[in-house]
Amino acid sequence: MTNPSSQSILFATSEVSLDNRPKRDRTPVSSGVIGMLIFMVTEAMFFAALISAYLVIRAGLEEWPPWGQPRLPVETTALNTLVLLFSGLTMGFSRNLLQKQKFQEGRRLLGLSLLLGTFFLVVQGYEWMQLLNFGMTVSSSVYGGLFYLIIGAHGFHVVGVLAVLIHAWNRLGASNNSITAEGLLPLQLLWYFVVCVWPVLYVLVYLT
Amino acid sequence: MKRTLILNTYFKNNLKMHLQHFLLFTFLLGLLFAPEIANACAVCFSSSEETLEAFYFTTIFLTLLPVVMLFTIGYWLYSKHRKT
Repeated sequence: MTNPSSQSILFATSEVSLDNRPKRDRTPVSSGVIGMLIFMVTEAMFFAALISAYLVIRAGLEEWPPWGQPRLPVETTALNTLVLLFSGLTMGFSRNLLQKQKFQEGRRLLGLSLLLGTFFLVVQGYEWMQLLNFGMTVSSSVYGGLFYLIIGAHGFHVVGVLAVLIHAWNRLGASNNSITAEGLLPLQLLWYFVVCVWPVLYVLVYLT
Repeated sequence: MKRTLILNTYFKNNLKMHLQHFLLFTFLLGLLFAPEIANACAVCFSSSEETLEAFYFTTIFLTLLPVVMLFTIGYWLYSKHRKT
């Protein structure tokens, strides 16, 4: 009986393990999606902290909004909210088309979502200009400070996601496009997050 | 007699340490009788019922939110894994 060398044992083991390994075409969820979900949890906690601070500070004051501060444009922002929600809807449709390998149509709807998102930002910017003209600044009162902090944090997120999605939209139109529907999903998830957080902020800051 | 001598030697050698502990204990005890010093708390600006309720709500909210989110994501990943 001969003693097998350590190298032959290693090869034999690797062959056995390769044969017994379950064959799976692809993982159920991509690493990008898992990473994005973890990021979204941290983002949700960030907004939850802002909301908590808002509720606690507001509860401690006698009058809300404080006397002398301008009232927020509820109706205009309601329409703007609908625009943002609609952009989330078109983003969903665009994903469906991209999954069916209809890249041109999917890209078109993605572009529409980006346009709606940009429109939302422009209207927000206009509202901010109006409020600043009326004397509501970050340092004018705790009301102004909280408003600009919370709504500004959301707007900053919208700008960030829009910038990355515009880059992806450009890449989708290129002849050597390497972006797939699955590859775009993490960014789309982040857009859904931004869209879903907004109604909560709107009800909290504008309506109550 | 011998035992007393040992104890005396022990206390003499550790007198500085005991003195420090005694002073620290006295200082902390003193704080109990001077609560106004601790008024630097950032959230002690209001003692109204609404503030109390807001603190309760936000504590529960911030405690449960990560648990619910992580459980939901975990369950979703598990169900996806089972389907494949």
